[in-house]
Amino acid sequence: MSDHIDGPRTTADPSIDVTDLYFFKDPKNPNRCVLVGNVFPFGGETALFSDAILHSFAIRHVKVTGVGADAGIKPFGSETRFSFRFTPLKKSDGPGRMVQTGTCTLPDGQVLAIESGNESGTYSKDKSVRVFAGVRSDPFYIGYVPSMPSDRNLVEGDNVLSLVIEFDTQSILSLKEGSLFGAIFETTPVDVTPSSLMVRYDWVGRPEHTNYRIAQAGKIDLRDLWNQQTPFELDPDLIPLFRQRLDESFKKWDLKDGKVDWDPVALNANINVLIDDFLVVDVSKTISDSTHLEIEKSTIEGRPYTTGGGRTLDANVTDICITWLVNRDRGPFLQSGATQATQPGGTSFPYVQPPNKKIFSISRSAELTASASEVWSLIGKFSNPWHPLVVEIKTQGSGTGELRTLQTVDARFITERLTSLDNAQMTMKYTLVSGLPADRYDGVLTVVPKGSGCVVNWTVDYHPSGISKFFLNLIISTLVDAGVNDLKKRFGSVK
Amino acid sequence: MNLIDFPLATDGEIAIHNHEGVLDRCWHVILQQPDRKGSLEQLIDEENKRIQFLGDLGALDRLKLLAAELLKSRPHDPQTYIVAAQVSSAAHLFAEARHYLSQARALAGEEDQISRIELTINQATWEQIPEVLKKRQDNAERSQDLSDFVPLGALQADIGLYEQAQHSYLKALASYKDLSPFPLAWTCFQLGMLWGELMPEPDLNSAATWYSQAIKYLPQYVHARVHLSEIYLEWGRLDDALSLLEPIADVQDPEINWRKGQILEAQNKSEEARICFAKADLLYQSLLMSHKAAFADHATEYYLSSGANPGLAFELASFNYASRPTLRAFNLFHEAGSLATNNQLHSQEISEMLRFKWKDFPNAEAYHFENTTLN
Repeated sequence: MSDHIDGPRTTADPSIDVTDLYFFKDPKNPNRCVLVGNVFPFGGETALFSDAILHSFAIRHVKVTGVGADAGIKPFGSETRFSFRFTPLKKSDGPGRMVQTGTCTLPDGQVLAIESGNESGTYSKDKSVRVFAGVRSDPFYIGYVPSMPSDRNLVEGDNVLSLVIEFDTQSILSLKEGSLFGAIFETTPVDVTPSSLMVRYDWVGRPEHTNYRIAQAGKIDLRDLWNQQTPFELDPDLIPLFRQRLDESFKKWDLKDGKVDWDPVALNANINVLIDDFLVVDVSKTISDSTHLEIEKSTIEGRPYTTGGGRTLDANVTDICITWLVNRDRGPFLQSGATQATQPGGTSFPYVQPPNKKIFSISRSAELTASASEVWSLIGKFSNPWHPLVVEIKTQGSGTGELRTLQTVDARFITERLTSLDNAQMTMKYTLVSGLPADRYDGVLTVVPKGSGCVVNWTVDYHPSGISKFFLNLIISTLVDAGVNDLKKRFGSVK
Repeated sequence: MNLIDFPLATDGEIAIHNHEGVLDRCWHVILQQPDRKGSLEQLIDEENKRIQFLGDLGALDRLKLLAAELLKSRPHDPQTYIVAAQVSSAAHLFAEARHYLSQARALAGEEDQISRIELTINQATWEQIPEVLKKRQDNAERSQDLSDFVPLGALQADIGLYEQAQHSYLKALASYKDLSPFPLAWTCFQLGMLWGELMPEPDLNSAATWYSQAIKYLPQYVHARVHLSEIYLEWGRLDDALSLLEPIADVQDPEINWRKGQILEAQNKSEEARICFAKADLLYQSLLMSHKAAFADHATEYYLSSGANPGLAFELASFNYASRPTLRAFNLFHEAGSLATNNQLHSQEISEMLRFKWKDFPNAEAYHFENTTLN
């Protein structure tokens, strides 16, 4: 799953768990590049950054050192680094509002003050850099995990903490030595001393390196060990171990379709390139949703690359990776059940989309023997006290906008507003005004004729708020269940 | 250990905020995508944090609800019984937990998970203690990880190996490589308990230092605040004792009101103290109705002191001792029995109680039997 939950360590404090790195060009200005680094898989809607780590992007020049059997992409020269550090919480203006602030240190040492969640971002003095930090919708999507194939995005609705850097390419990257770069994103301790037990918590270059290529079912988990490696400079003593793991892993992937597409020479070339794990980007060329891994694949296949590679927010990286490993792009594209993220990437700063609100939904249906009109005459009137758990209804106004306050048998007072009533379509929509711990609550009640009887559908979409949110589901499902069961008793149900 | 040596961790307020977001997310996933891999385990971990650190006793109700729902909707899934066993174990319903584990095993549930829960249950109920100790030692030796050192330390402390327990806890801190403050706060709290309550000669200064450090890691750590407040009360630092409880005043843990009542009593505010004791009493009664096994020991202590109901204390202590025959449970039982009957328990009865396996424990001579007359 990209770099999400890639090893036992990252689950202890999920806010240090790197999930993804993206590197693409500003769709509206090809002279500017965008880096996005995410942490904290499955974070809440108001997730906060750990104050005990640095979140850093590092970029280095890389060059193609050989193609075909001799394929290799190696780093050289110095590093360009952006580092974010966050503070503990601070109280802000407004009741109960908390904000998290921090800094971003730019490659030239300039320090920008940032406030998490500020969508306008913060510019450097010369406007060459603009940065953002905050909780966002996870732009990653995946529909295939070996043990868990799915017909939908397995991280649908999830949020992550995003760090975004948009920068002027010429000002930040030295292009005299070439336009090909490798990038990584990492989380490290704030202070590393000789006695530190950890120098790094997690890092990512290309997506799925740890979870798809380093991890192997039934084998010792090497992911924590990998995550402590220094990016661009693997420990030479451990390289044979990692090469062996990639060899085993790639052979298994190759056989997933029952055919061998990777001869030993090509497989070795694949290992040579992919063991150096950084996201490869040529900033002088086009980067699109389909160019991810193109530079690496062309190099391995012995031809010059033609695109900027990189990784856009909408690139289908998992299926691109799997297709490459399984059939070496010689067979069909192995499209999984997921075709897009919960929210597609944006075209302007900060590119990543606002966090997903958790919308719960409860739906119940019943097929009744009575006619649709008979049933609608009972439940189609907003002020009608037909529900068995409602002891009294008080109304105010009429038509769209009408208010009703239900007094339930457990002495709860729930006020709802009618948002639309369509007697022809036998559809009623209403929303919550007060009385339940929800900041969104929309109900839809419909009656659909079926033969001489009808089907009643009742759906409530809601978004809980407050500490009692865990029981809101119980309250709403009890109300809806009791209502539908009562209709079955009154009108007779079709088994 | 100097302050400078304490491992770095994410700020406690941030960690709790993120924990609440993750918990919320877990419930959402469980309700909307019940088959999503890993979400059940994560949910139970997060709810257990609420019980252990934040005094959110409603977590037990939510977990019970979850287990009941799983037993109804997924009766053929071994994971259902593993979850049910974890929930029963959290509620101290150990016989029920063992029953669920045997069902999980019959359905070919993951043996590692089953054994781990079994180990915890055996430790809690003092079953096969020498074997549990050996297993805990092996686990800690192999992993060199806090998550194995702390349960080892807790067991060592329970059976009187105090120095070894301290050593295990300190190794837990020294081995910690992660950034979550929860495990660190837990270890510091255990060290506070060791020095303040378990050692034959308590050292309240050391205990206070460890409880304070636990609170530094996790400001909302309810039990650390309550225990430190108890020490301040003993030292006569009444305002400090009271102010420690203020940030957790809304938590529905009866011990907070009990302690607050004691402090107010010491300040001669008897009417305010009475209200606090009444609240504590109400909360204990309510908890005992829904989770008697989980709260019988704490409630015994309450009714033996401020709750002033030795009859109820004895009944609870007997119940607690029957379901969890540990040394602490025995001491409570004995103390409650003495007060209830205004007499020491008959020595033959005591000897009978002490026959359970203790002779087989390592370092048996170190066990500390309070108030017992064996002759």
